[in-house]
Amino acid sequence: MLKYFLNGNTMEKKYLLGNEALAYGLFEGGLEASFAYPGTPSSEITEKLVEISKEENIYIEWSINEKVSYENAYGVSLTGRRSCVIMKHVGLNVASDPFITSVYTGIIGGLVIIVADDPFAYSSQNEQDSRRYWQLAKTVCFEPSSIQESKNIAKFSFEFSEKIGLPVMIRSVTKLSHGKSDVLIGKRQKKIGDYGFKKNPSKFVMVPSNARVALKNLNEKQEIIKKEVEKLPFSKFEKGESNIGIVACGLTYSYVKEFVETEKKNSPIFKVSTYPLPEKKLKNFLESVNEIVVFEEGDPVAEEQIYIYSKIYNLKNKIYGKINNFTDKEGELSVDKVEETFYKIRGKKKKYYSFSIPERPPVLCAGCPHLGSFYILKKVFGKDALFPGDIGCYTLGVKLETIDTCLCMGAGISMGSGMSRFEKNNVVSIIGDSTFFHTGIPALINAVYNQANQVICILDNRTTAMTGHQPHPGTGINAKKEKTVEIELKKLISNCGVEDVIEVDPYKIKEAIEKIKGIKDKKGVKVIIFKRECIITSKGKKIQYYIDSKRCKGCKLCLTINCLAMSFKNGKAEIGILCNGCGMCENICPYKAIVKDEKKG
Amino acid sequence: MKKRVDILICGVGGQGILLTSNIIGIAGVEEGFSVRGTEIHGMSQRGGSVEAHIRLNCNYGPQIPYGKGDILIGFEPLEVARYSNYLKENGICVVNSYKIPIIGYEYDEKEIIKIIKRKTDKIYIENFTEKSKELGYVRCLNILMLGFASNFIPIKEESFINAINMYVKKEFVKINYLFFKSGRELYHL
Repeated sequence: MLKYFLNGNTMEKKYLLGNEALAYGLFEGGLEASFAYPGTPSSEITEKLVEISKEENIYIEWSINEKVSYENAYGVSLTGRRSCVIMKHVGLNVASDPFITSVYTGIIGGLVIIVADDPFAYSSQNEQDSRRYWQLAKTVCFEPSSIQESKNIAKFSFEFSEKIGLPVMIRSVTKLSHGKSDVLIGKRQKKIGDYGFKKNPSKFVMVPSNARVALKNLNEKQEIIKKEVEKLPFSKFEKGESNIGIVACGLTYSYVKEFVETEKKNSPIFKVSTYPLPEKKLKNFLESVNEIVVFEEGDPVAEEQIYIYSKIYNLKNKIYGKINNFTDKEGELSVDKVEETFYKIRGKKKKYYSFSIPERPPVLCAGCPHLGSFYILKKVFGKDALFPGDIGCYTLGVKLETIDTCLCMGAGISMGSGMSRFEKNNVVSIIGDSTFFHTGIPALINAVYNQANQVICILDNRTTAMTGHQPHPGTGINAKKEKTVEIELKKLISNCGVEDVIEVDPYKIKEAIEKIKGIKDKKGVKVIIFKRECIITSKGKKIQYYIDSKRCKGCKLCLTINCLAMSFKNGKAEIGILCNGCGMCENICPYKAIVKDEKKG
Repeated sequence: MKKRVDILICGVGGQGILLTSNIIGIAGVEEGFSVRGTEIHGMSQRGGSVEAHIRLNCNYGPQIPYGKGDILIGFEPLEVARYSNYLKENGICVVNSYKIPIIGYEYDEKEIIKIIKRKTDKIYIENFTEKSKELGYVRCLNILMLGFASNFIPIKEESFINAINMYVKKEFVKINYLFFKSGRELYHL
């Protein structure tokens, strides 16, 4: 590895994912405890922390959900230690309850919230802009413009959080979290100071009388925040000669720089990496230009601030942005999008050569146990049943017509309860194991308590598959891959008052169908656990199957599993190289035409 | 100052695109380039269309602008067509001719070539999947293609080998060497 000398320190240069750089930043900043629930694009931060903190005594956990994560991290902070909580954008909705009020009370040890937004919704149910939570909570939000800056800000944020006495946010976006760059890595520093929780009820007990005082203090603190933000180097005014200035928030700064330097423009640039925006620097910038263009991913958050400041300082800049449709309101930005906006301002349109190629959407893996579960559910409940779904790989079941809704974590069960009150058809909620632990449990108890009439299917593939196979309470393994208590689903569900709870193997299709028929028409809440390890993590023997073409009658029944490895050629089924040897097709073939390839066993 | 080299790799989830881009990136950093790149994780990874960008000697953002890519390495012909807008005029295009079908969509290789040809004539098309099968390990298709494309990337052979050593699991290092070398030589045949 390459060594560099900077300010008298030896630094190492590594090729890192944005999320890995954030992990190094937290590590160097003196992190002592980290809490997270997996979610794309944020999951690799925790995984990298586990890897790099082996020598240090840092507490790292995968929590059951983001609210629980947040409260844990806040608890650590009140003992004087530096902690962080990591999540995807929608995770902050779950954690917003403790977050908002924790800004009222303030913190003791530095508390950093990393939120990874997903503009274009590559792997999410929405594109919400977490910077809105900065306004709601009245704290400080950082938005790095590069992967190196992600590391630098993560490191610095603990110190700053302690300085202003508030939890602080770092907003990342998909291309920053999953971008890669060479990054300079430094040494770990530790917080110096007192540890241990010191009782202070008027500060930490948010009864109404204390909350009213806390809000007043927080509002007064905004003036201190303004001054502190003004001193930070992250948001800055880069002078230029052109009359059109550019405001670039977070990663869009890199796009703007590339555009400006490639086009040899000499535009003044205002780089935004802190919210609130530094008012004095911004005023200088606005006064130096006639027109400005604002680039930011998500909502017009900085743009709205600029409108407000313009009004306060009576400035007359013409502003181009989302509000007047000069930049897109949805999706990501890029160098090309920046260029497009400048075309638009000049009243021109950029032409691209267009051709149509069909989309290649993501699909379930060959041999995925969910394929079996969906096949079974269709057979037993038919297509008239309602399938309120949830968040995970199994959401891809929408193409197999066995997922009818996807809203948010845990919603499938509660929505199903609501539907079941007024629908005549069977209501079959579908949820994954990790999602069930996340927010499914209260929904289940609610369904039992209020006597809903629904089937709840837990597709238990023994992992959090979609986000890269993180453990959860049902696996008996923790974030550091150590053994811990395993929460058994069947026991847990029985103890929630469910009388009809069965476990089936989605690979053993015929057997599962019979078992489910036995409880299908009972009244009340019925739970089916489809238990089978994810095909990616299963360490089973790698067997493959092939078609005995003499026996194959071309009935196409095997194709209804929708396995990626199965195709149909010249009137016969065919199994390709993708076969993972699950045997589901063998299980349903009426002609025994699907045979195990023993040689590869 | 060294020239910037923008490389785009595309294909279908599961073809080893992430690993290939990381080997180029690590090798680039080893040689002192500043490197930027992007990866695809999460839902889109599951058998969907996948792209990875690697930018050598770049201090900007991770994503290559349209029409600026110097080299396009495509593991699947239809995906090459899909991402061909990234390629610059007369850029280099290395294409695996082995198709991974999209259900309900038929297409002719000639149409694909036509789409790429409006950008460049420097097209190197081979059935790399078939070659990988002949070499005995179809899953190393990515390294075979990397070996071939490495002839156009300004990184030394030994830096690629070092990167493979650092990044690939120990038991697979040897087979990866073999595929890299075979790919590199294939260009000269």
